[in-house]
Amino acid sequence: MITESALLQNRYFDSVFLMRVAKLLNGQPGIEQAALVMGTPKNVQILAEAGFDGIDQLGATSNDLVVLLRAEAVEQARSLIDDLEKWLVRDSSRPATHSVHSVEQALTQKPGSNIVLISVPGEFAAREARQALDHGVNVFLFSDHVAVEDELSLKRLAKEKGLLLMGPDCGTSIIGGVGFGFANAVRRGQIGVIGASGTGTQEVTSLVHRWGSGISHAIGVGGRDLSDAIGAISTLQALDALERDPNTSVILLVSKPPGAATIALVNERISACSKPVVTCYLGDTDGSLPGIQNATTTLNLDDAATAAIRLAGGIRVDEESPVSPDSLQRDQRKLKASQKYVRGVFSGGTLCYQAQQVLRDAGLAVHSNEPLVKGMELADTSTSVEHTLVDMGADEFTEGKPHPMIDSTQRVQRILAEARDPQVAVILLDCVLGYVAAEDPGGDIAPAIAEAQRIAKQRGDTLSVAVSVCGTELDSQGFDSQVDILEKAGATVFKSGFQAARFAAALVTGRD
Amino acid sequence: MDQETAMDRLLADPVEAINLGVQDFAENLEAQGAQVIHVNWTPPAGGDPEIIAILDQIL
Repeated sequence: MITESALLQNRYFDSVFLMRVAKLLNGQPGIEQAALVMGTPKNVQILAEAGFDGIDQLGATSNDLVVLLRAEAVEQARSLIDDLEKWLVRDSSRPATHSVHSVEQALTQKPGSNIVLISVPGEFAAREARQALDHGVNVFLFSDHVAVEDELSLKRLAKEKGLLLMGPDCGTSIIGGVGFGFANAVRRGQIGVIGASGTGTQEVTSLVHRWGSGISHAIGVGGRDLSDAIGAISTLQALDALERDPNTSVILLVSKPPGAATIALVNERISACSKPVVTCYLGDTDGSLPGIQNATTTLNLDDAATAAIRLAGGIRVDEESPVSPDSLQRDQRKLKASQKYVRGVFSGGTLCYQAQQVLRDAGLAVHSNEPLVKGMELADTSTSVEHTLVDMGADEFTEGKPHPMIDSTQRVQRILAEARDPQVAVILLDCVLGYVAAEDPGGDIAPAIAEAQRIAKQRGDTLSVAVSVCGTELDSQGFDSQVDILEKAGATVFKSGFQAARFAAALVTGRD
Repeated sequence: MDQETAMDRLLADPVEAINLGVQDFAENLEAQGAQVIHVNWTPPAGGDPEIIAILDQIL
């Protein structure tokens, strides 16, 4: 095995494009591994740690493209590097880039612009967000690795100017029916969502749509907004905006439990709100808001969507469940006594977190790389123990690699690893549809689901695979067709993460 | 009623976006019928934090 490298100076490409090119190069004959990254100090460090020797000697800057190829023979790698330009061309059917180089120039061309979407590398993101706010424009800040001090100063600046800063690390928003980042296609309606988590917002907006209602706006605020370090600055602004918005009649707030000091601020604002507010603080055990007349507290995304639909005057449309008490008992009887554990392999962080809550409430102790319960952190995130639910979208799995909602490669490997453990009773998965997500996320994991069950069968076990699909029939991937693909692969498919987690918990508890 | 803010107008008016970074996001917004302008962004000053800090002070 040899490693060849190339440095293309002053050639900037975005990370999603480069990951797509890397995937294509990985499929070329004789190529073991291809890595294409911009030469930021962080990327250089990640690749050096991944064993690409000599990368730190290339002298790359953040504007230079670094290409590294591990190949069987030097000729194969060199031939690809010689032809590199061919791979760096964007699909010509896609819209052309405008020839502007800054927000200021863009505003000269389009002075009516009302939002800047920022997904540049984290070390540059705060600077760009500040410039956008200084120009009087709202910001959707997708970039992560933004310091908490920067978040605080940006949000104070935004508030002072009457602007909204969504993020940082904001995965999902829907503004006036337009999805930003990872969002699902949903009908418009009267429910306004404020979400401190990306997949929490995706799941709840998809459920509201599929259960017959609609979304006015879904405002992402970033995962740290309700912590005491930030004090819910964006959440409180979003509550103000949705209260004033004539198209919103009910407000739904999804978050982990707010910080001890922040919850008082949020509760005070909710109690003063003229519209009904549904809260869903995932991970909470109580969550009640004593004395607040207009607040409805819920503890999972299904109940949150149901409550909001009812408050908006709708009637929830019920969806068929793939299991009945009889079928659950049949599935339980197929398990050997030694098959005791649930293993979750998630692409959505909030779906992983909510599933941990369901298992916790069923009396199970759950390990995770993003644990709900203190002290349950996995010692080694690459190896599951007992009941384990892994968030594959967490930093340790995505540094320098695509998010599992875009590319299932790492998740497939983990699903197969779990199947090889004879103590596993059920593998719990999510399948997230929507804008920017993989074209066929169900199809990407279906072969691994079938293979996992074949591995178990070979040793005489029956392994259950429960999958929840998050999305709508308006998403380009097609909700029903994704359900169908997963069912054909042998999975029990649920239409919400909460229901799938409840099935997994029921399967391993209450057995004879 | 407080004075209308830029945040209120964002919720009331059609989305007109400026995209910095991942081009797929611009294409996604355009596919949804939103107006979007994609900035041909590159790291300022070659990404050197010291030069960026100096630039920010003088500009």
